[in-house]
Formats: sequence, C-alpha cells, structure tokens
Amino acid sequence: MIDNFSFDLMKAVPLDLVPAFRQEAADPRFLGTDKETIVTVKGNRKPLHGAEVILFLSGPGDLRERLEKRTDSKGRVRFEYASFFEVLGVIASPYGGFWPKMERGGGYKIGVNCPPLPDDGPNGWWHRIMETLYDQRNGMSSNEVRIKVGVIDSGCGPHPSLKEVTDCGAIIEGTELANQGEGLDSGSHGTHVCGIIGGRPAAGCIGGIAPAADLYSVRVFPDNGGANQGDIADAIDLLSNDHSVHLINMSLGASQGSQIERDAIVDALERGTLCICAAANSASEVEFPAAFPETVAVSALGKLGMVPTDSFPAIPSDPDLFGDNQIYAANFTCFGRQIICGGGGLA
Amino acid sequence: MSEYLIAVKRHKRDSAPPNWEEMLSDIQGLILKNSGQSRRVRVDATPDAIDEARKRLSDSCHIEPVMHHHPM
Repeated sequence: MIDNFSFDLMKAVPLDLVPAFRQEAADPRFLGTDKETIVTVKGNRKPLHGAEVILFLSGPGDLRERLEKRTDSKGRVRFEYASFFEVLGVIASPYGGFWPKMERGGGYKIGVNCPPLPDDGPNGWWHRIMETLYDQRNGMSSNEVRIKVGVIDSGCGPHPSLKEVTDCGAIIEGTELANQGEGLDSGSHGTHVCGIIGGRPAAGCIGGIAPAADLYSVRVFPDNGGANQGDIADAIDLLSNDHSVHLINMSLGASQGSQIERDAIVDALERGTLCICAAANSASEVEFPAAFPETVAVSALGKLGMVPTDSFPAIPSDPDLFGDNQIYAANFTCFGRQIICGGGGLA
Repeated sequence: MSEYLIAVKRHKRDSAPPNWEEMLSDIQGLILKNSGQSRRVRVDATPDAIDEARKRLSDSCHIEPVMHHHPM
C-alpha cells in the first residue's frame, strides 16, 4: 500500500544524476553550491587585480552556464556552483597590460598566466594596414582627421592616453548622472574602446587610430549588469543632439532589436550622426543594434602572428578564411550580410 | 512584475496623445518609475497591466521589455 511505502528519493536517484529541467527557474536553495573552483590570474608572475574571469560550466544534457567575476588583489577569484556541473574552461581578461588567456578544462584550482601586451607603441599592426602611422620621432600621427566621435560604453579612464576625452557622465536607469567621476569606467571595456579610436599615446603606449578626433564618452553600463535600450537611446540623443558628434561608436549588443533604440539611431542619422556598431562576438548572426540597416556593422579582424598562440584562440583553422596581409576574421566574430567592414578586433 | 520601456514612435510624435504618460498612470498593476525624466518611460507592470497599456497606446508607442546589452 502506498501509505506504507517508504521512498527515499535521495538514495534511489543520486542528485547529480537528476537533470535540472528547469534550472533557470529553480530556487537556488535546491540547486546547491557545493562545488567550487578558485582561479588565479597572473601576468609576469605577478597577481593581476581586477581581471575579468569567465568560468564556463557544462551540466547534464545541453545545460551550460557561465559565471563572471573579477579577481581580488591577490589575483584570485572563487566560483561556487552546483555539483552536477563540470568545468569546461576559463577566460581571463586582465584590466590592462596583458593579453586575455583561455585555459581549457579545470578543477578545484586553475592558474592562468597572461602574456604581456607589446610595449613597443605607438603603432600596432592595424595602424600599418590602414597607413595611419605615428612618427616615432615626434609622436605625431599621419591621421589628422578632426572629427567628433561619441563612445557609448562602460565609461572612460582614467588613463594617461585619454586625458582629453570629454566626460559626458553616465545615464543609468533613465537618470543622467553628471557628477564628477560618474563617467569613469565601471570596468575596462570603454577605456579600451576609446583608446583604440582616439588614444593620444603616453610613452610606450599604443596610439588610437584617430588621435586628432575629439572623443565624447557616455557610460551606460552600471557597476553590475548590462545596459538597457532606454539608456542607450538617451545616450545617442545626448551625443548627437547636445554634442553634435559625427560618429557614435557602440561596441555593445543584444540578441533582440529594440525599436526604441532604432528610433534614436534614425533621429541621429537625420542630424548627421552615423552609428558604428560591433557585430558581436558570439560567432552567430549579427546582434543589435549592428543588425539595423541604419548603422554600420563592423566585424573583428586579426593578423596572423600578432596574437600569442596561447591567448584567446580566435584564429580560423581554414586557410581560405585569410585575406591579404594575413588578415582574418576572428573565430568569435558574428557574421551576416549586415557586415559593412572589419576593424582591428584583435588589437 | 516585469520591467518595460515605453516611448512614442518617431513617426507618431505629432499625433500621439499629449497625455500618454498620464494614460499609463491609472492602470492598475503598472508603476511608472521615471516619468518626466526621459523621453523613454520605465515601468514595472504585471502581464495584465502591460496588456492594458498595449490596448491604449500600442498604436502610438513602442512598448518593449527591457533588453540588456553586453559589451563586445
């Protein structure tokens, strides 16, 4: 009889063999976090503070998870996760000075040693390809184009090569934050983007591709989490309307398109501001806003031999995917007919 | 409750009801979060409330769930 039947689920079906059918909606108390991995990130044998670490996990069936954290002052970060996950690998992206690095597999402890970035600036391979070279004697670039470029990202600086970027503050959850410091980088991405575009290089640093351009930076990423379409649209308005920028760079994206965002892009275009958008790094269809026809979608390019072989692997295995000057489209770059051009994504 | 963004469609700016934000404020289950601060209004709404908002304003307004973008 059923009411006399004693059934111990935990003994009959061990928990780690029960697939998590609704893991996303499951109460975390029932998932448990009884497994951990400690990742240590170093560069030149020294711990790297503030490196972004992504841990990739594989679970039962097609279950995949990614966890993101930053390293502490000892270059360490601790991840906790349910016991039915196995570690696929990690990607460590240092705050600066070192290449990102991927390590496959893992266990309780993973050590990542990031190779140093070249310090023989101000020219990189992409300057040579585009023939916009710095004169090593006087530090002046051959590219003297003076335009105004807006950057909508995680903020900018502080950085010695970006002292002249106009800080337009932040727009977070519909509120403009104009107090001093609000426009500073909440991570490192925006600083990297501003540097690639218009860095005026300090000694030994790589210079921007257009150092004579006037940059205007707006932070739309909060300290934690993604940027929403309303803040991005407000930032487009601010840069195009209030600062009359010629171009807006958006190295950000989402898998779905927002018509609110698209309206702002079209408004800006009518004012004479063109939005340049990254195609995305998910090796699939171009994401938004790059996929809108009113923007210029840019894929990520690399040059063979310029990226350490043990850095984040982006080099295609098919030799037919290499073009002139051994330039290739990175493995991770999104693809589609919306792509207008490529940029130095592995710069 | 989920978060949504509502903004007048660009080709409807001349014809949208001037009191469109007020038309949202009396919907039960809908909370305006930043009315008057931006052209794009943020709301928290139940499924029924957002359905009511769509009935009233979808002709003149975009009504979208918040979409989070990531850096690339």
